Amino acid sequence: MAKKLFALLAAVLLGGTAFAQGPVTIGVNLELSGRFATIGNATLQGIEVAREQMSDALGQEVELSICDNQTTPEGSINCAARFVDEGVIGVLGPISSTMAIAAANPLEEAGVIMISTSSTNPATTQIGEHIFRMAYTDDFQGKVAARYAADDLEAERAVVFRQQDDDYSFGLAGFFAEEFESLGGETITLDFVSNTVDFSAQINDARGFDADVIYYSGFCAEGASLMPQLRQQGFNQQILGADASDDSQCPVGGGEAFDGYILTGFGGADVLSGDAAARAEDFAAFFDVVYPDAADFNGFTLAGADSYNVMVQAVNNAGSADPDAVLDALQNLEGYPGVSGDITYAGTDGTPADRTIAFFQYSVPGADGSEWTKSSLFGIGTGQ
Amino acid sequence: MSDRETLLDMRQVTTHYGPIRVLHNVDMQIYPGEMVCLLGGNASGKSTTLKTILGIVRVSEGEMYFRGERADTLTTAERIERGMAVVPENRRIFPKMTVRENLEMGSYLRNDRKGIREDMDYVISLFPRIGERLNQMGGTMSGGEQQMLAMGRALMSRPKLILMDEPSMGLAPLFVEKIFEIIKTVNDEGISVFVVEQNANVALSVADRGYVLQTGEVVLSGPAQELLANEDMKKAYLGDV
Amino acid sequence: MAAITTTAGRRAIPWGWIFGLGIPALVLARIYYLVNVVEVRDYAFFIGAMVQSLQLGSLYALIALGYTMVYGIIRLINFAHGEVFMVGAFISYFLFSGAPFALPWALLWSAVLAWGVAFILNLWRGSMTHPTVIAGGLVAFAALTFLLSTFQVNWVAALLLSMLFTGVLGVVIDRVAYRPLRGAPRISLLITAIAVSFLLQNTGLIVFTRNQTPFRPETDWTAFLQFDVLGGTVYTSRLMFLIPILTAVLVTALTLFVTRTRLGKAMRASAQDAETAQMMGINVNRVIATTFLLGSMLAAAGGFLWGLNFGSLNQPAVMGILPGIKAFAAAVIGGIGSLPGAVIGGLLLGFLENFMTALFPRQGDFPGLTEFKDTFAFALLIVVLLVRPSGIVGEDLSEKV
Repeated sequence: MAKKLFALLAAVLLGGTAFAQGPVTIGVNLELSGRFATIGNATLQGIEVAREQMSDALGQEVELSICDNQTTPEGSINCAARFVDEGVIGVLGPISSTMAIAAANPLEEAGVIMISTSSTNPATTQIGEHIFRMAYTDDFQGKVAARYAADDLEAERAVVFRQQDDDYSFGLAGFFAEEFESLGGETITLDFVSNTVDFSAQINDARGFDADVIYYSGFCAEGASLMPQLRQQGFNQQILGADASDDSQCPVGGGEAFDGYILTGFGGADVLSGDAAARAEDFAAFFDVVYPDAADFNGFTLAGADSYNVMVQAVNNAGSADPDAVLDALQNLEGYPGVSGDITYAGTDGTPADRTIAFFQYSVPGADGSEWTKSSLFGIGTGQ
Repeated sequence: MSDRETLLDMRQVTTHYGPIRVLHNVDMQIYPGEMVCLLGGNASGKSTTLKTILGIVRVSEGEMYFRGERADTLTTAERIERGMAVVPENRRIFPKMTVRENLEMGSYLRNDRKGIREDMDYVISLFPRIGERLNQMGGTMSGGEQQMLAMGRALMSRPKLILMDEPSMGLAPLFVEKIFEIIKTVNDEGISVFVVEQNANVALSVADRGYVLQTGEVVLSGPAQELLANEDMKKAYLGDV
Repeated sequence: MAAITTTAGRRAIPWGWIFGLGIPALVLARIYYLVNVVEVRDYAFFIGAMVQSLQLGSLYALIALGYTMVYGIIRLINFAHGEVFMVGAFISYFLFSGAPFALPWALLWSAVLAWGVAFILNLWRGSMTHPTVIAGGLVAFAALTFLLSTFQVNWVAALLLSMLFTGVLGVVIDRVAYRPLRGAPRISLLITAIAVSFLLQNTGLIVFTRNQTPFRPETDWTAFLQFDVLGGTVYTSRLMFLIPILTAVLVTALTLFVTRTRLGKAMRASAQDAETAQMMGINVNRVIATTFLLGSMLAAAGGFLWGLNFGSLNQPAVMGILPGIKAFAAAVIGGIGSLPGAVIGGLLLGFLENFMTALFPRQGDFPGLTEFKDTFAFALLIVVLLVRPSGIVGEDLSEKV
């Protein structure tokens, strides 16, 4: 509060028209350590490279205020509180729905804009008009995966592994099962909690079910243990994962077990079309210059970059750092040419109108997983 | 006091328990080959004296010498190393170890395997009952057997001085006599014995000399026979002889 | 277990026989039911579950031994033991994986552990300034710094070195945190143990990593293994041999140590009557340090095998907590203070966690016991404390006065 008063005073004294002098600060609330650290860091790199490309707004330099929520809801709330105190113009992140929902409440209450880079649980943007996301939602992701399993894989019985204490995993598993069953399939859902390493009990339960396909809606922290244990126990079915598996921690941590693993995730240059593809490729090339040794370059990197881009664009469109003006600009954003596709918030509840989901497949040649590669199979637009 | 070299020499030893003074200016000597008994009623300081000799209780004032060396600054282990051994009150044998292992604990600080074996044979010869039960758990033995085991354990360190804390406690009278016979036998081998005892009669009948302690001070001392005949002693500690 | 006779000579209820025979009978009946009556599983499945139970039980047994030994000798529930297990796992990880270990932290760890090595040598040589002690400390310091920050060794060396250094860490913890409190009220010791636990957790977060860590050394022992039996297939890995055998070797070595060596017997004597042990000339502090050394070495082995078994390590503030508490429960269930008790308790717990969920799988509307897997340990603990607090191999001492 004191900062704003001082700024107002300074503005009045100096006769300036801009509300805030000094650099524009954007808060970054990410999982930089803990179970989702690899995804958080990939996202941060995306934000930083985007900032390299577009480093000022309203003629002033954009500053990033980075906060590590340590992959805990408490950490996320603390970051949110800190940003409210700092008076940032908006917050980018977190990446996961559980942390995003935790931070969204205090930020909405304080009237601070939040763009979660990759939360996919529908509930996140329901929290208020200040809360946006860059990704698609899980009702779409789950559906698409279920259809793929039923039609392309011709599966009739699916085992779903679900992390019951995570909003994203829990919701996504539900969407998948619902769609799969409506297509005539049968599912059982097996639960585990975060930090589980011993999946023998869940695997024992799966044994009697005789599944055609396995759907994993959780993260790589647990997935890296689950997949090898599944393979060891003789489960050789196709495994289908979601965007939380789009993370080097999976093939590196789980090794051979991830060979042939199919996952859905944020679409990149391979599945975008036209100008969007070109922009994505340019960005990838530029990224390679800044971070040649990055562990990951994936959809999360793109999501991070675009979250930054639309935030800055909104500030520029608003012409000022007035929170209401920026919010208005963001809500009316239409057809912004992002590196993950065109981004339109106009007429939505905070979820971009048209996003591209891609299907990827891991290939892990050796036993130890260090030589893994990921190839794109195809993409599906949410608008379709 | 004679000019003979003492084995144990306590000079004006005073100890405290917090602010409370327990022993006061205690002067005691034990000569090699002697058997000395320490008598007194409850709370006279008998047990504290033994603990002080061992090093479990610290000397606040005064000095103690063992085999000519200043001993009150040594740790318990160091005093054991230099030739003290103890048969604690209530025997305190190790209940979940075998008889053999209990004896082995007595010789813990020694490295001479042959000597240890010889001493074990000697102990078995002294206490045949022990020899029969070498693999039995210590905790399953009777009180008298445990007393023998505790003594045997003390002997296993080939000590110069054995300290015994109320050996008659909890034993049937017949056994008490037997125990003191064995103590005498051990003493005859040249090992000094210092016995703290309630049962003044039996102790004085076997010992060479005795001290009587009352509220932490030495009130009487002298050859055992003299103490036995002493009128004050008779009234206070010996009952009807 | 024979019938318990009371002093009056009457036969008490033979609980030993009832549980010893009754429970296996029930288990076999249930297995028969699942295989032949409802036909949801085959016999091979239960053999596989048995194998997994043995592996998990061995791991719990290794950790439980540390708890039981320390309790036996100084009546302390060493809450930091779960963290010692965690440290052992991570040290072995950094040794075999060549993952970067920041030099400043390597120096800090090395300094602490080198002091520990010096202290241990001091216990034998009598003075901290003795040349052997100083030399030993410096060598340890240099070795550990290099090993942690630069070298990469094979898994056997990583395991052994981790055991050694974690053992030293245990000695350091005792010397620094617990020994100054000898004779203090037990609650002070408990609080200190909890404090050490938190200290290790947070130090681990800073020094080791904040993230989930994959644990995959180069070895053939994690290779999958399948064999057909009784009409079905058992799915397991070669760890089904390594883990139980290694555990058996370590437990046997420990047992031989406490029953055959002088220092081992001194440990047992000190656990039974520390004051009298002192009166035998036993240096009880040295014995206690040895107890911590051995217990921590076993925990480190447990940590390494744990990582091998599950393929990854949770972050340092999380990894040791649940296994630590369960292993402690195992030690109490088996009979705290007793070595065979810890092994029995650990194996029993492994069996309970793995086999129970196999015996009661999801069937139709019955969700099965999978969600309650972690609760069995504690449910059994409560039952044991109510019915037979001294544990299975209880401290059942008949002492005659």
